[in-house]
Amino acid sequence: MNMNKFSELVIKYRKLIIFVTIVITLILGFFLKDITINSDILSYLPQDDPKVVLFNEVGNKFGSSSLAMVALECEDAFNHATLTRVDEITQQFKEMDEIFHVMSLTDIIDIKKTDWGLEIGKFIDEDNIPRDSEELLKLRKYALSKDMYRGNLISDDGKITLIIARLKEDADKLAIGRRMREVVEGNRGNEKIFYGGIPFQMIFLTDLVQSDLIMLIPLVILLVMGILFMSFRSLRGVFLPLSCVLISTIWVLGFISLLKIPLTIASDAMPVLLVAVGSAYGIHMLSKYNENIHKEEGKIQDIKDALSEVGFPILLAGLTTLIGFLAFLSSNLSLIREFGVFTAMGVAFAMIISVTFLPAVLSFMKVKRTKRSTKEKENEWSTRMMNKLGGFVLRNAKLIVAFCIVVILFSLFMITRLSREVNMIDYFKKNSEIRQAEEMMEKRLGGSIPVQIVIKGDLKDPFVLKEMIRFEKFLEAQPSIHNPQSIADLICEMNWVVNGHHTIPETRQGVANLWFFIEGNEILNQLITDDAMEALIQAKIGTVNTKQVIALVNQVEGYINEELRTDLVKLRISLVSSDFEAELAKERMEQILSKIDWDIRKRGLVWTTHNSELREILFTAANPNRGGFEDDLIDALRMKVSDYLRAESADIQVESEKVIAAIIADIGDSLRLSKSGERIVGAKTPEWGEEDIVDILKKNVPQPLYTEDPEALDYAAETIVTIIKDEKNWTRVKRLIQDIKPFLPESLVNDEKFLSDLRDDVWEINEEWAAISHAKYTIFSGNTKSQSRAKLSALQTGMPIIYNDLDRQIMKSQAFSLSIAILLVFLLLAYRLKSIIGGFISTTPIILTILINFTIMAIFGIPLDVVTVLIGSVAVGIGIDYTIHFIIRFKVEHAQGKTELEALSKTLETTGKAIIINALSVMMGFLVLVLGHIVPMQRFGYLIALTMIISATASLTVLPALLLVTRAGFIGRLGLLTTGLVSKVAYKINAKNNYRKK
Amino acid sequence: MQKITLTTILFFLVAFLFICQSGELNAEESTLTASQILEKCDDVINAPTDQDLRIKLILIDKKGKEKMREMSMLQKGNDKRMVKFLSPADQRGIAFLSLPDDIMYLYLPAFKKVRRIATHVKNTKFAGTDFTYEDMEAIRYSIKYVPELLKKEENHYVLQLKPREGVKTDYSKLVMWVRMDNFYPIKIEHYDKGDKLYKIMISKKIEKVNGYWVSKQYEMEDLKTEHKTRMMIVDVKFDSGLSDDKFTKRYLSR
Repeated sequence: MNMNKFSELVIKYRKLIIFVTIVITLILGFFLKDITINSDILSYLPQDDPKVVLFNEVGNKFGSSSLAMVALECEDAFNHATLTRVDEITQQFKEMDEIFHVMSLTDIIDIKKTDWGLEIGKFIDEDNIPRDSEELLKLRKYALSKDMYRGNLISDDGKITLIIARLKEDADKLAIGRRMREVVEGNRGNEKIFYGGIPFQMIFLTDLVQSDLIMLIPLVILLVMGILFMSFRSLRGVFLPLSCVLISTIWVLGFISLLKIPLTIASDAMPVLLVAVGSAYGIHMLSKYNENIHKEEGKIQDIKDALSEVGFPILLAGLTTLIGFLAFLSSNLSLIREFGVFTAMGVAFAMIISVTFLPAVLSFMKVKRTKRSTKEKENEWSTRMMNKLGGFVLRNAKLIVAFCIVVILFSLFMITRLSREVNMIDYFKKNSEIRQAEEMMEKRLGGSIPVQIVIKGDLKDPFVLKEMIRFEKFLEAQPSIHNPQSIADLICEMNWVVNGHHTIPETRQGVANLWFFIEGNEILNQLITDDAMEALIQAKIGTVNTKQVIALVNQVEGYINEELRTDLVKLRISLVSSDFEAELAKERMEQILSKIDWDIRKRGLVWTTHNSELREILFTAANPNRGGFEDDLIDALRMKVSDYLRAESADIQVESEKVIAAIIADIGDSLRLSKSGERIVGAKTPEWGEEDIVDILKKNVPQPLYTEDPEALDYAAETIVTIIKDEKNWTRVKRLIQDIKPFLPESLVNDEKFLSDLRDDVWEINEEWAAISHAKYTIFSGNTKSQSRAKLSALQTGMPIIYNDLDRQIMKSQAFSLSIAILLVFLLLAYRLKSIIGGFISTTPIILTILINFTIMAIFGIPLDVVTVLIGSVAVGIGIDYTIHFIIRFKVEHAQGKTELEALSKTLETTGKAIIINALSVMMGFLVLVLGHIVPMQRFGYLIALTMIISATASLTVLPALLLVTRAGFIGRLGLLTTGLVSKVAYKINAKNNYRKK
Repeated sequence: MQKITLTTILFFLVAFLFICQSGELNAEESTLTASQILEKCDDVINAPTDQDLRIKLILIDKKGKEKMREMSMLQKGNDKRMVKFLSPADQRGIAFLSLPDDIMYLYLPAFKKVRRIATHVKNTKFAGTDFTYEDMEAIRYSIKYVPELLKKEENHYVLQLKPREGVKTDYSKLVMWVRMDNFYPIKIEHYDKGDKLYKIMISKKIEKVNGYWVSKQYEMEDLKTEHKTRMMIVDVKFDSGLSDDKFTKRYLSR
């Protein structure tokens, strides 16, 4: 549209414009009250991303993986008052419908081995929290001895105890988090309280965003007012441009609220940004008015003229800024898109208001005389400055360009070292409450970020469970992964209670028998699905460093893809063909070795699994055993059998010592002969020698003892075989451990906990069933027939992988939006200047600025995060204005026939000064963000401030240097183009003279 | 001692009066006290000297998926009980023996081992059902709870049961619907410690077998987990003279 026509319309409808602007402002201002803040990181990601889909799916099945954690710290957490408080809080959490599961010392399954049997229940009976100090001490000792509690619900020193709540996936994390905090605050005692986990982080973040907004907006307004007053020295000079940005800010925020779109951590920067950036348009309008209009008569016409003149530059500057922000639309991250759209909208509003509402208001105001005396003095001073600068650029144009090239090369190298940070905890200052809570949890409770592995497969299949245990051992061996837990651990725990070793039972029936204990227990909901076809391994990551988290994610991914055995053939060892036996034994040895290896690495130690002697020992042990029973073992067995026969619960009550002696003697002989011994342990005939025992019993036990109950002999034989097998197994394992000991790192030889891990690792030498990957099976056995198989698959999810995803998206966003912004600006400028080279030259200063920004970030270790990722495009949008102003002015001056230096000096004197002032004021505006409490926002503040200065400086130095060096034609025929080198020297002298004349 | 005698006499006196009165007015139930209703209810439930049951358990999750298991149960008096699982196959043979004084033994056929097992936390759910160990106790309601008659409906008394002082229970109260004609409870609402309705038990198919009233189908629903357990009595024998031998550790593995 023609600018003249436009200004005509503005003046014609000036009353309407003012009225409509005020009405819209009132209406949208009303909606400000409904504005909400969304600090849920997950919601920023594209919701159809497979990683997000899996994350949500797992959340629905097992409860959200964003855990809310409350830690209570005191001298000793095992005291009645603290435990009572833990219980109180736990109970109240459990009553909240939005909470899926709560775990704490007063509400956790406990599987305990007692002197007389086993006890299944809760670690602490919530109705009977002990008071007695001795009892409490016992409880403490017990808790610290169990992996399930230690480092998970209680810190190693027993001082910190944790309540872990798993929210339902669809729960409003913020609202429920607040209610949880109320509950905790309502139960305050002497303990120090820490809040950890995403829901609480979200509360803190939301509150910070809110309080920052409340504090920073007035601050930036004050600052802008100060700057406006300095430059206009009048009330209207302060309030008119200010009203433009305030109105546009109200419009955008009201609009966002009307659309029910919550503010994000990034949009938090928007109001400050709008005030800082948007004021420029009003300033342009007002200064033009001040420049042109000095008398009351003909005022309306004068305003119209001023508007027609200044309208176009304002629109052009606004357009490039819009491009910078709209480039964010290319991002996959909703928070970045929203930031882009709404900030662009705000800029557009500010622009429109500056050319409509502002002149309309001005037309009703009296014309004022402006004082000029001080301004002239300033002019003189700054003009001299600018002249000096002009001379410098002219003399050193090539040097400047060369310097630029060096900087660009250096930057390109530094960019590779740019770090990224997506962890939410990084948003908070180091000394903030939440950050300290997080550090405490990282240090003393293994962290608060869960890493999760979804295992799909038949979870009652022992081999699936065994693979889970292996996976967990692998996880624990990784630095900073702690406390992996799963259904497999519970099964092991129960096996330990029943059979004395912490392993997965050999048979499906064994698993099912143990499963029976925990069926229906609440803890299962977060470990397996109802159909037992999907399970979760959950561990914690004890680092918030994105780089480390991502390295771990990749480690785990590597294990899943390369090491996890997903298709297994189950084999009865005693039945495999003899040529396959050795291969199978080798495979079993490798499996055992890797488990031992992980257990050692978990303790931060290293050893080698490549010792041939060690491998030989394990290889022999893993071979099906056909060996006989040594005398000492037989003696031990005779004792056990005789104990059994004397026991009240024995299937046949033998009281006669003579009979018992005869039975155990016969059993001993039989085992020594190795005939039934072979059948009992790992023999070719899987009947376990029960008949032999029945025969021995029949021979020795007087018939009247079992005539009434003839089956009693069979039951007794069954029990005796079990006793023999047990004893044999234990002996084998103990011997093997003795044999392995010399190869272990010295510090572990007497480490009880490690030795019991070792026992569990090697226990499988006793097992009659083994599994080998289907691929190996077909190679070694040459058998492709379908066999009994165990299949499983694993997928990684949890916050780390989401962070990984976010990290990738941030990279993509950065690359994409920045390229788009630069490309669009280039096209716009090339079109405007009608020169491709002109486009290149005028985008160079901004590209340089961005590169320097990245270099500074790399040097000082300032990471790219969800907010600093915005800097590039924002800098393009705002910073390019300087270039535009400069080039246009330079072109105009040069076209008027001035020499290069004259044109340069004139441009620097006028536009150059304006650019510096503008950059300084925008910089001040952004620096206000440093006073906020959100770390990425602070970074954003000072980095944008920095880019403003760099881009202004680059526009005033690099740009003219480039123009001079390239002799770019689009500017017009530069004087030196034809006169060559000699006249260049003359030109320089001339320039010096010119400078002196001034 | 004297006091007890006195109360006993008083009780009989009152009871006698009631009987006389009810004879006269021919409206016996309408004047029963809450305690009397609960006593009668306890009597009806615990009437047989021994029971030999075959039970089908159907576990229904919130999506309506069903899991089935079968068990046999022998009970003598209300403190000796032997439960054996018959299905599913991999849990067949698992057996529980509960004896007086909270003594419980468990037999795991996969390991051929008998273990004494205790649970000091009675609100642990039993074998994947919605019944907790507490629900499975055969203790008379009147021993644990103080009843209060809330209202009378057409065919039912509605009692509110609050735990007696010192009684450890997971429930803050029960609300019980008792049939007027035979005093069999048909519905019990269980309230949690936060006084929220938590579980509902419903008895269906109440029949008279060998002169005893028995419910052949129970249903317990956990409102929090939306999980349901249907317990169906497939076969029932009363007073078959079960010997104490059947309630021994040795018998667990048979």
